[in-house]
Amino acid sequence: MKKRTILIFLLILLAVVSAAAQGLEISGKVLEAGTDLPVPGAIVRLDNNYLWAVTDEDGKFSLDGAQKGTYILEASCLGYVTYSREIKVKGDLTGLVIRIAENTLALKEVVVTAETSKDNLNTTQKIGRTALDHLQMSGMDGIAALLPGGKTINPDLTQNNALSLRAAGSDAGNAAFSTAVEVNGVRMGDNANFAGMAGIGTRSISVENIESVEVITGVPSAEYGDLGSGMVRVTTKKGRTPWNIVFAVNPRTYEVSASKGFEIGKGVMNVGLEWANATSKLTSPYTSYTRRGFTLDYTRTFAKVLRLEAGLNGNIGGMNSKSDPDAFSEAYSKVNDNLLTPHFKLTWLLNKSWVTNLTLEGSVYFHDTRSLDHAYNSHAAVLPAVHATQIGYWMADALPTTYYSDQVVDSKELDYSASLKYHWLHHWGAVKNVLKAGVQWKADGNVGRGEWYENPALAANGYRSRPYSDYPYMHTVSGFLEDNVTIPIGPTKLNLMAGLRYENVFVAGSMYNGLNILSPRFNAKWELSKSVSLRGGWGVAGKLPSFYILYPKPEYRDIRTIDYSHGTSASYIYYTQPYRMEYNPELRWQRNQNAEIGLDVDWKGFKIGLVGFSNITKAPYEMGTVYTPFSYNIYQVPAGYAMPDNPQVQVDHQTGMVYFMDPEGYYVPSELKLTDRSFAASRRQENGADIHRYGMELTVDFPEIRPIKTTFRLDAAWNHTQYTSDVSSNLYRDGWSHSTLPGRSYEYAAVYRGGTNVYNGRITDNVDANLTAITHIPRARMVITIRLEAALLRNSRYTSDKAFTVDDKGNRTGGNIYDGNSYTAIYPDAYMDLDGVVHPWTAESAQDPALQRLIIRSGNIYTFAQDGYSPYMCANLSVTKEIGSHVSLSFFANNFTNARPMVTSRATGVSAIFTPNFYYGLRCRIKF
Amino acid sequence: MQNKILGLFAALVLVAGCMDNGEPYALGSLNILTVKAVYPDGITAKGGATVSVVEVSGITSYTVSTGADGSVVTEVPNGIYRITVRDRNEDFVFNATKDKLLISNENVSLDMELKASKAGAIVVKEIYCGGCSKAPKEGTYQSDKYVILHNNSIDTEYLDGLCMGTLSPYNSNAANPWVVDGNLPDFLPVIQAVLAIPGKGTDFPLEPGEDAVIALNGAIDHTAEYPLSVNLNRPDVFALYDSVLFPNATFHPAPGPLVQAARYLDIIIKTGQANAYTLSVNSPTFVLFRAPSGVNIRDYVQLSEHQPQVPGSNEKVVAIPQDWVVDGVEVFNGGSSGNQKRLPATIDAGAVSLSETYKGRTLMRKADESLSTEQGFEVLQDTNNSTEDFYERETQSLHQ
Repeated sequence: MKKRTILIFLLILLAVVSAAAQGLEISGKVLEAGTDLPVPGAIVRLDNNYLWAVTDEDGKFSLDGAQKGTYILEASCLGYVTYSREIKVKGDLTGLVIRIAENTLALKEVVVTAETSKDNLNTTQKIGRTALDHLQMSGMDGIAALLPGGKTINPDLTQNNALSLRAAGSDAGNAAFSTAVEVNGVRMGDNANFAGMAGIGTRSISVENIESVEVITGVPSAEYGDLGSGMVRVTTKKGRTPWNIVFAVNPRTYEVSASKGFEIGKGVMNVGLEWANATSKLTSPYTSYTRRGFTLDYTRTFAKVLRLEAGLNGNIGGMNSKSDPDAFSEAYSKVNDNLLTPHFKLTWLLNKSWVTNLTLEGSVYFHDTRSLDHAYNSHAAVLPAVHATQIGYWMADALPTTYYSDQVVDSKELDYSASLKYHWLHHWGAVKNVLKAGVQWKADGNVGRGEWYENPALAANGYRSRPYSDYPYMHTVSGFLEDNVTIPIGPTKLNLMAGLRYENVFVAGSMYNGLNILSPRFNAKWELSKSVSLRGGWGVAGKLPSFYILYPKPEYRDIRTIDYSHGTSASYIYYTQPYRMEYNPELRWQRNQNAEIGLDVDWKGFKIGLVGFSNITKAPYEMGTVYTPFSYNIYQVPAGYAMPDNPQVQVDHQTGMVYFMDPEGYYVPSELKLTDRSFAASRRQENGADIHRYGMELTVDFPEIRPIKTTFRLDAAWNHTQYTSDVSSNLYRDGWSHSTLPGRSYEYAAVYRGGTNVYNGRITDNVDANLTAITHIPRARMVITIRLEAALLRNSRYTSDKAFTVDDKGNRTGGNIYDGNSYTAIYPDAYMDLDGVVHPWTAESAQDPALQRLIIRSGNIYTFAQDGYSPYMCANLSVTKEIGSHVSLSFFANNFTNARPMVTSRATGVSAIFTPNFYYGLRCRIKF
Repeated sequence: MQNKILGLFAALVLVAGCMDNGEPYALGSLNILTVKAVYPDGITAKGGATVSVVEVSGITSYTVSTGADGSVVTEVPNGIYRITVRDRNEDFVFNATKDKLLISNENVSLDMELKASKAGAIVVKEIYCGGCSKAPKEGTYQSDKYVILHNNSIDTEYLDGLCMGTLSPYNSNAANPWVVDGNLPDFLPVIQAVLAIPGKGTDFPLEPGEDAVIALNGAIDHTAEYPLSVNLNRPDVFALYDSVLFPNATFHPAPGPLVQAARYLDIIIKTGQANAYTLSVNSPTFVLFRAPSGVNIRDYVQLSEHQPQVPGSNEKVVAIPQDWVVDGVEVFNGGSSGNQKRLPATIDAGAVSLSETYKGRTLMRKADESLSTEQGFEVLQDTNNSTEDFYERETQSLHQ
């Protein structure tokens, strides 16, 4: 039904298409600078995606139907430096000659840092191939170092780091989880992850196949949804290229890659293959991560107006600890990291009076993270393994004494996405208007077999299998509308963008079906002159829940009620209190409210970008716990019963009574030892406290100091993070003994507003600054960068609006918690008894010895003291040298002075080292 | 020129190589250490008290005796020392300990205040906490921990209600959070749980020279799978078995068929949240204690003033007065030079070191041969100083 609707819609669109709009012609050819050879396959664009054309074999292009106006004309081709200039179109422009230069270090200008994008109204950093080569990243997580104030981390593919933007190293508010990563328009999916919300790891992306990376930290376009604090967009190489062979090595990693852009018929096929192997410890090379990345991208333009980009990116690899002689023999673990992302994009240049381009996109994202743990187990006796899923008393399975078990977590995220986007550019006199609209459907799900043991009889005690494919897909249907208008005001230019996005989630059979969010987004930029512009934005972005939130892990409470040895074996009976799926009718979408204001100056060789931002994460997802009281019976073997080697027993599943057959064939009941009452925990989806982040980012590129061919770049960031939680947390101390009755469980569960720590808030301030000296000698085809990375300020403090000071004995003293010289404590706000009745905490409660155990006291006197570290810094060196036009060598040395200063925590007095280890690596690229 | 640069570089490397923090103290001339034994009021020094001076890394140790005035003068090189003084008369044993005494290029004069304590009736005879190998299978094993108690007196003693526990911090080489200005607190921080022998008062007599085995984890025949372990499936064993409070079946499996339900230990209180009882594998402190008559131990432990919180942690312990202690043994980690005392000198002035874990090694109290011959049953040495009283044995005494 849906398909037919889309088809009819397309047919109507086609029918409405009238004769080509009358307009002006812009034509010419693209030549290689220096040789003046034609460059075929180059894309010439007006205003990003307005009118576009691909050059033919002779480098010729023609853009037909242009309206009068001012445009940015751009010509780009893989391996060449993108040409860009503003043109004024008053009449036909023919015979244009655009010369684009091959991207080598022999050029006058080379960019090895992140560049603030001029096209965008929001803060967007662009990182090109030259920078990626020069800094020799083996994983995407390295790009964080290129953002203002970012810090270098040593490459280590055995860590699957997720990116989080403007988060200042804190994951509060699920910062990494709400950072979207797209490769060629395919969203790296993490929504169907059952394990947690740590964010999508990026190590499966082959950096060698990347052409450019765009990092959006400002208010994103309404085109993008399901995100929070920002977005990273990766584009792989597309276009004709010579062979590129790369060898890279650093103490932990080896990498080999090959790529080429072939011409196939009238299209171009880009093929990239990469093999990387990384170990975490030099002393133990047995635990390693292998990446076999591949990209296959096909681009072709049909009839000059229909451009197809289709591709298949992926990876086959994972972690493997096989055959480590330090581990138990035969024991190993293996984690897949297999990725496959087929995708296509069809852009149809209609250029009518009511439409410019239509884009149809579709993609599939498949991520196999199946893990297998082949573990050695050996016990002195037969041990129980309870796997019951029904309430009641059950005889546990018996585990053998020595065995190997194979625990599998088979997670296979399989997402689908399709979208249709409409794009219309129109000039009304000097006013230019771009209208974008689109609809998108996305389905996130997991087709993995889930959690299980290959031999269910060997599953650990308390283990329950969990088939992931039983959980229904999460479908999202979204639509957006965004208008971007540019109005010249005297000599200045005002650019306004307003967008609205609507997303609705459908989850069959879930109580959370129909959650929706409306996200308005605004951006504005005022170009006061050619060299100064002001910009600002405000917007809301919603983050979809993940399966970790939608489908909490079933947790069972299993209690040993009676067990007995017989012969050389033993039997165990357990009471199982099953998991109860909780529903929180008040669950809301986690959303980010972003705002920023910026100033860009480009004056006399200085390029300055200053932006202030505020980023509020509202109602971040988190898992809470609710407790339900229950009771169970503990039995013992009847006195005087002579246990045979193989006793015949019957278990009453309701009462737990066990009947033992005596030699005469009669059943003797077990003796009730006691009836205990306790609390069973169930996980519940909740929204946490709002996280407030604000700060400033500064980048300054200084003009070149000619005699030493060196430019300096300063980038700095101040990040402030703050939250105060009012969200109530429940806590029951499993394992405490009853305050009066021997052998029984503790009798109260407590409710604490703001969490179960003495603090319920935190304030952190970080200031980071980096100074990079870039020496570029075109004649020597060499770039040397030395980057000084400094952490200038590290301040943090826990806060509380309910904690009070206490003495050693726990008596309230009335001091100031922030003096940091006494222990602190909090009272519960309420407590639940074993009948499920919730009582408010009163002054009398604090005097009751049984309840006093619920008072939470800080472990240290410095909990609320001002914490922080003194500044520390280190320096990195990167060198790239091209030898002729075929060979390029790069070398890096992180923290090459081995500056490892110990800095001391102001609150705890404990010292630590934060600068990275001295680390180095070499990369050789051969082009032919 | 190149040579000069190389030379300069080499010089820099050399300088960097020498820029070490150096030793915390340099070996120099000997220092004069004067130790004076100060006896409790009413007791006069008679000389002959044993003074042991042990450098903590174990490189040097001296044993000297005090003169008639109660003091002794000796010469020691720079170092960090543990000094213990012990003496005994007919009624009491006297002990004093000074831990982590730094002597560095100065003469030191110490007054050691001796504390009088009585030799106990029930003493700890053996602590087996170090585990053993799973050979011929792979791996190591530690669910077979046990303690043996011994009646060292000439009277029948009743174990009923005898409490036991291990102290915070669990390991001797951990920083001791209870030490303030070098002093231990005036109570014993019993961590995790207070255990007790069951019985109504006279259910579990222990005759002079008799032993009682306490299985702190599994009361099963561990040798069925692991021949280097011990058989704790025996009718006389007291077993820690409580499926509500310690439900972890790996550490607390169903007791063997010979174990009697009447001999399961009582849990007076559990303040820890672990599902298995933890006794340090390399350096526990084990104490036996009894509440004085008139004090109900169950009521005592519930009061929050008797439940101090471990400094630097959220865990609570039970504060047991020192004079409740029947016997206590301090075990040091033989592989560490950072051991710190947890028991005061009145309970255990020294410590016994466990040199290796998972080798079946055990810590045994020495027999007093002359007294044993005299009394006609096995009498163990009890000077409240485990350095003297204990030795490390290659295999568990229960190993067969």
